[in-house]
Amino acid sequence: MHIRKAQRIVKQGVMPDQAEPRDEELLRRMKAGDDESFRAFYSRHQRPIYRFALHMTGRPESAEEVVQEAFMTLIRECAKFDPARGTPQAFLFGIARNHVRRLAESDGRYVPLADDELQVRAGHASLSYGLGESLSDDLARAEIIDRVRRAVVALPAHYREAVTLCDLQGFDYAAAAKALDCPIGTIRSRLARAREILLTKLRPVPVALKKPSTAAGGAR
Amino acid sequence: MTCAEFENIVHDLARPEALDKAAAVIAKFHAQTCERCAVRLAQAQLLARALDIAANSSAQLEAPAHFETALVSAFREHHRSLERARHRQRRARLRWLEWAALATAATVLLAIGAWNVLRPRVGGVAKTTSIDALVRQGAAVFHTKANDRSGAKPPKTEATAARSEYAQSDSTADFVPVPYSEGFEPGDSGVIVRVEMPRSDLADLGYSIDATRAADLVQVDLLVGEDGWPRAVRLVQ
Repeated sequence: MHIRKAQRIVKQGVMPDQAEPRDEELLRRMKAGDDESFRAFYSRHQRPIYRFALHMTGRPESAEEVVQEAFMTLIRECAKFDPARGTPQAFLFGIARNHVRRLAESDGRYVPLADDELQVRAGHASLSYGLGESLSDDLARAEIIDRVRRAVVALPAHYREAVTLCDLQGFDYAAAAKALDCPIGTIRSRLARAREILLTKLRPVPVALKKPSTAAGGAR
Repeated sequence: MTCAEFENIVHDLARPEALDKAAAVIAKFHAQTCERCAVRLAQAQLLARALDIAANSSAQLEAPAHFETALVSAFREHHRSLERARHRQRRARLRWLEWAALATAATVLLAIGAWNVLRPRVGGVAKTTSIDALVRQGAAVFHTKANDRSGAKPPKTEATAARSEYAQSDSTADFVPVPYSEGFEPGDSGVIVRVEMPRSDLADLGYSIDATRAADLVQVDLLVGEDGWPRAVRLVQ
């Protein structure tokens, strides 16, 4: 399996193991009061929901609140899930989106994460892109992360959702369309527009990102 | 491929898995021949890498560990309260059924009681106002043991129990069937009613009378059936 595809699957929280019960089966058991199925469902989906809320709000405490509220709502309303209308993941994301929206209305503008907070929570910085171990590269990486997050949080909500799911959480267009309950074409157009806005906000791009050999003449 | 078409897919081109191989080859060839599109591709690639870095920095982030315990507890409590609510509903339904059964039983008992009160009584103690009046007149209620319904002879009657003050003090003749009346069946009951009537009315009851004394009042006992019609009559001498 292609490495990036594997990463994308892990990011989406999709269980590659066929022996694990499907989300629909877990939800069915949850309706009957099976708390082990709820525990399994929570374990499977809490991380994508948390990261979605974190990228949308820029605040860990807001992301925690969204996760808590989303799963409490799921507990109360899992009987409302209709498999004909979408997947359980899309159902949960819909709930999380509503809570994010409510938070945005009550809290006002979000403040993007400080990168050191992210490092503490992650436990380590991801250095998987071979950008080197020197301090300047670390700083450049930290700067990139900070700038990207600020730029994403500053996007209008519907563009932010598309970028968060597709570019920050590895959802493909179809999965993102299901999670956001909109057509794939809408996802593509929102994503294209969001990326253009990000390009504008992120110029000039740090020199550390330049590859040794590219087709272009380099970023400005 | 035109620049406009390239523009539409440039960001997907920056993410290899997002575009099929054939389209990617065509687009990259266009980028090699168009400087503007080459710059656009480079920007898109840099943005994709920046977003990847940001994505990877948060890949391990998750909700605090204690959330799971708290939410599982909330899940259990929610289902316990649902079960309690279902139990209350079941009890309310059962209670309603109990009340309905009680009401039905009470209705049936009332109906039986009303039937017992209202139906014609054998040995009739105070059945109706007319019965009360008959008792005040000294009527006796009796059971018949009529053996012959032919009507050719007066029915034999046997008076049993009840008050019969007049029967002891007055002499009476045998009862004579009233013309065109129905006889008594075994088990029928009736009352004896003593009335005073003009002698002329005895003609209607089958007696032959002296016309000169038609206006005289005489006392007669009427044997009245359950339907209120006189069945037999006797003179009180």
